[in-house]
Amino acid sequence: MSNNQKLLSTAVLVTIVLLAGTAGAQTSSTSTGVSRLMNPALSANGLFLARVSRDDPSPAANGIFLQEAEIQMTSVVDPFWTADLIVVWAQKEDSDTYDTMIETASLRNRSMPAGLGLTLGKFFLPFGKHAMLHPHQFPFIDAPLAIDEFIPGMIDVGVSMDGTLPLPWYSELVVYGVDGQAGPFNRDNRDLAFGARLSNMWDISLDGTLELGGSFCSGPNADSDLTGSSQSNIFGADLTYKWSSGSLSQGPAVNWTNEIVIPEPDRNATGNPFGFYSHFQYRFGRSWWLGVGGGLTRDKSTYDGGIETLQGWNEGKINVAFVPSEFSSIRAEISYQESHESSRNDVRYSLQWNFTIGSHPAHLY
Amino acid sequence: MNFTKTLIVAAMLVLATAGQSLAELKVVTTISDLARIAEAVGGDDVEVSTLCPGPRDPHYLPAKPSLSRKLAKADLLCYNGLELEIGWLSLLLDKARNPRIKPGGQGDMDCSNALEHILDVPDGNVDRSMGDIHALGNPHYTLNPENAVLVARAMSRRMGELDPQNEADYTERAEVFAREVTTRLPHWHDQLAEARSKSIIIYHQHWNYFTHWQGLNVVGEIENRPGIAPSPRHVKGIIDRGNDLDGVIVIAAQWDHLEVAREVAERIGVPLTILPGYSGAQEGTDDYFAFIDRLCTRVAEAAPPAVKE
Ligand SMILES: [Zn+2]
Repeated sequence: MSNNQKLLSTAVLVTIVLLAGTAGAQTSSTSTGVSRLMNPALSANGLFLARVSRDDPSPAANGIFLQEAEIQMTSVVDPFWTADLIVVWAQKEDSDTYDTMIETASLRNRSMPAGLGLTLGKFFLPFGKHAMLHPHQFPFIDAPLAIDEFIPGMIDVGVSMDGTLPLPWYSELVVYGVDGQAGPFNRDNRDLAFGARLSNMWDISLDGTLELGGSFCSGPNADSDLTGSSQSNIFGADLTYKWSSGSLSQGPAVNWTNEIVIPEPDRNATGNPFGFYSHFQYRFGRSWWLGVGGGLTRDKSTYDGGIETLQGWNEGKINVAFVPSEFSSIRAEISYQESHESSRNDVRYSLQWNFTIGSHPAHLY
Repeated sequence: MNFTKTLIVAAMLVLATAGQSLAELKVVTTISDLARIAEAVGGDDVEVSTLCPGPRDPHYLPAKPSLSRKLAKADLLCYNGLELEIGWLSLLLDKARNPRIKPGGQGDMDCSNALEHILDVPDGNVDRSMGDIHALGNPHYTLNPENAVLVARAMSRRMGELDPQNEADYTERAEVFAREVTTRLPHWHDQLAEARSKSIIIYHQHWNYFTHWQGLNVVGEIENRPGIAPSPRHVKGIIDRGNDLDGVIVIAAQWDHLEVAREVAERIGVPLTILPGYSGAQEGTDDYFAFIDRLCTRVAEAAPPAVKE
């Protein structure tokens, strides 16, 4: 190799190395550099279910399912707002296809004049305790009958404001006005829906708290002939006791939640519809929880001659959950439902498992 | 004469009430150690309360909204940082609606910023197969009193910024605290002379700043994956290791799952040394110095001088 050739190849090599170095520097200054610090906190969740039914032979009640997968993002937007986005792919009932749903897409103010919070966008409507939970946070595999029957899918688009009341205990009031798309409302007769929730909390011992809540919402209904008005009202009350051992880390704990939901009765109703449930959960080992729950609904049904009577459903359930870390759990559950028509009674045996990956979840209270 | 007396009394009353309305700085800390340091630095010029009571493990404090009532009125929030409070502090801050102490606010103080050295910062890849690890490093730094001094000085600067009138007092009290630590250091050091020749098995990485400060030799952890119950195989490994060594001390916090720790100690044939996790976690340790005293005394007691044969 001549000296010139050596010089040339050295120059080419040096150029390549330099170019590679520049390219690397460019990459790190854009896609992997400081801009990455501004990425939202990201987490994902998967929820699976295996189930057999004693009395219901339908494919929806027997099989192994991916119930839903969920992606959550949260971040500060600018000096004024924080944003949340939760996208869910949930299995459609009686089908193996999935619906994409935006569970939450909202802005929340960062500076709070007079301590007032403002949420704009799509969000869970605050009604009672259960309606605000994601399925992977449910204390039992299925939502209580009272929730499914009267306040399903409490997600809507609009504005909500919240603040604490100047009382000697913790008392929070949330009021909202939304578009009227949520489960209990009539989408064809879409009109403004609004509501409020007041929750009060007391420390009744060093390690135990009592929460008493009241909820109300009002929105468009389907049949003003029946109800006497195009708006229907729903009322709710809830009482929760929580306790956890203050002396043993990840030690015994109790959650006991009771909730009643009362929709306004129709004009020609013969009784008051309502739904109630009581859920008791006990942590009996570092990684183990036991749950016992029961509930009932009394709802209207139209019989001969248009005379309404109330029909009843009762339910009972028991589960054991293995929670080896904050990021995964497996639970086995037996649930029983009984209807006013005994032909629709059912016992279900279920196994559900769930994972969370990504940013550390805050411990819900 | 009577008129003058009345006037003086009235003036004193007015001053007294005026003094009260010149509100003390309201300081809220997350853990009890930080509360004790804040009290030492703030003296009568501050009112200190803490979110996590001494006997409770701060990794798992329930985010009771009632706690956010304390935060709602705070002028200064001193928190431990390094993700110790990751499961609950942000929820409480949301509910507290207090812009003074929100991230970026003047009263938002991450005390870990005062440290010079953070232990156990993971090098390389971390994932949760290692348990619910503290990804920013070990957060239990107040177990080294030298770190407490750094935190005290940082608190005095921040309190001085928020309450410039009393700035000199804050600085002075932080130095008093520092001198107190310096005075006690030789005794604490001497107490553990024997323990330095022993092999220490700890339950959780909670003790690393203490053992590092005192030059103690940690040979194993029972809960090797934080937040996750140790596997029987790992526990057996620790017991085997302990049995191969002479002079083992097994240490756990009073809130740990002591049945496992007891089993390890028993099968190695040594008593289990149960220590307070933070100030106030055990009776008689409310004071920060009493707390450090207790740690040193208990470990020293567990390390009797080797008997010469
Ligand atoms: Zn820790």
